Amino acid sequence: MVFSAKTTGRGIMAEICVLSGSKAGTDPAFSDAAAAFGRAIGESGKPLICGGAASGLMQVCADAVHAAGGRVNVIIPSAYLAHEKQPAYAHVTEVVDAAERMRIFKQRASAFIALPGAFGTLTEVAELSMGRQYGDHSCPVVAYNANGFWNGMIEQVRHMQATGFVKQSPLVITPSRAVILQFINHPE
Amino acid sequence: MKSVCVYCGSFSSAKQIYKDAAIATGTAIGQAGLSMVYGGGNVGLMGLCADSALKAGARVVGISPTFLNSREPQHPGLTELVEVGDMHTRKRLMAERADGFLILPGGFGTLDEFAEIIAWRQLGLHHKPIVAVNINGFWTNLHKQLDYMLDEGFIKPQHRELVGFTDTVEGAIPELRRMIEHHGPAPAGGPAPAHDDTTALPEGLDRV
Repeated sequence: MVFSAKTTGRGIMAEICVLSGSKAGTDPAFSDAAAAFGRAIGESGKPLICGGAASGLMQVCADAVHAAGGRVNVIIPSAYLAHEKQPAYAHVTEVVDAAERMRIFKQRASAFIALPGAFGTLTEVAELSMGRQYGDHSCPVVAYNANGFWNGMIEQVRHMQATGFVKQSPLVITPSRAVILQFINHPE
Repeated sequence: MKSVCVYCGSFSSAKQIYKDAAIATGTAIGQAGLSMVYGGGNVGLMGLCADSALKAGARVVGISPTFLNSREPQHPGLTELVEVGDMHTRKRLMAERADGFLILPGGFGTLDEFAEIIAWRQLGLHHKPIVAVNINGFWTNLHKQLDYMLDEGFIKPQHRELVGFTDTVEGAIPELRRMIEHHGPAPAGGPAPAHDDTTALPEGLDRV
């Protein structure tokens, strides 16, 4: 299936997709960054699009978007919604499964920003990187390397390139908040 | 365990040591009397692994999205070829048709399959062993990444244990069997949720 990346939501209103876990982690720097990026998204006037805002770093980020006057769009499978109560401010779209959610992300987002997370976040980062390689979407895929959280991933991707499994990596992993803010404000 | 799913890269530019490992994995699957399930391609490690499994007498089942045929041509000699319409159906069917998962070296696609099959296990969607074949230290950095997720409180120790690592092809199938023994068989009535927070199963993700 080829997604019409050229006609993504940008024509109407670019949405910033944030990927993260349902946990906040133990390092306060992660929550601090999630709040800072959420505030920047809210102030940019672009909606946040995400998979849920009920807990963890995603909630911290979404709360900050809302507090800064921004819109929060949650795309969530019905079964998750049943036991993950979303904040009242969230504009919730129910979907059948995670695959449909990912299709919507690719259609509507203008940038993908990954915070620290777990297996689900890693799956999404890998799928979106592959999708960018094969033209399923044309948006930047950027991971915020808070206190070296994604160092293992950086080395893994380098190794994949050195051994011939990845030709050119579309994935940007950066420790710089300024770079993330740049992607939020100017995804193109 | 009757059937093993192999995830691996489809680029022919892979180094020889990984091609050798793919060939050895296919042979090991055939010699163990197991079937192989994979993405159905005829290129890169995928094709080499399927060829050697067939040669060693294994039934080889390919699950292949028709639209991929231009960049990942289908293997013409498989025991069974299942054509599907999209990548998600492919991943779901591969998970359904296998009793365990081996992750060989690969790129972003393999990493996606690797992380997702662990996520599905964590959600309790399946109860099958997952082993990364860490040839030449290929997955060592991902191993470190998972350890860091654990250290930083994003995953629990019992979830970190849902994936095993082995340094050799010879160790791969024994490690799958060890994990089945260690975690016990799936309980009657479907797999138990490995994720203690999970109370409901997402719709559209059938138990496999």
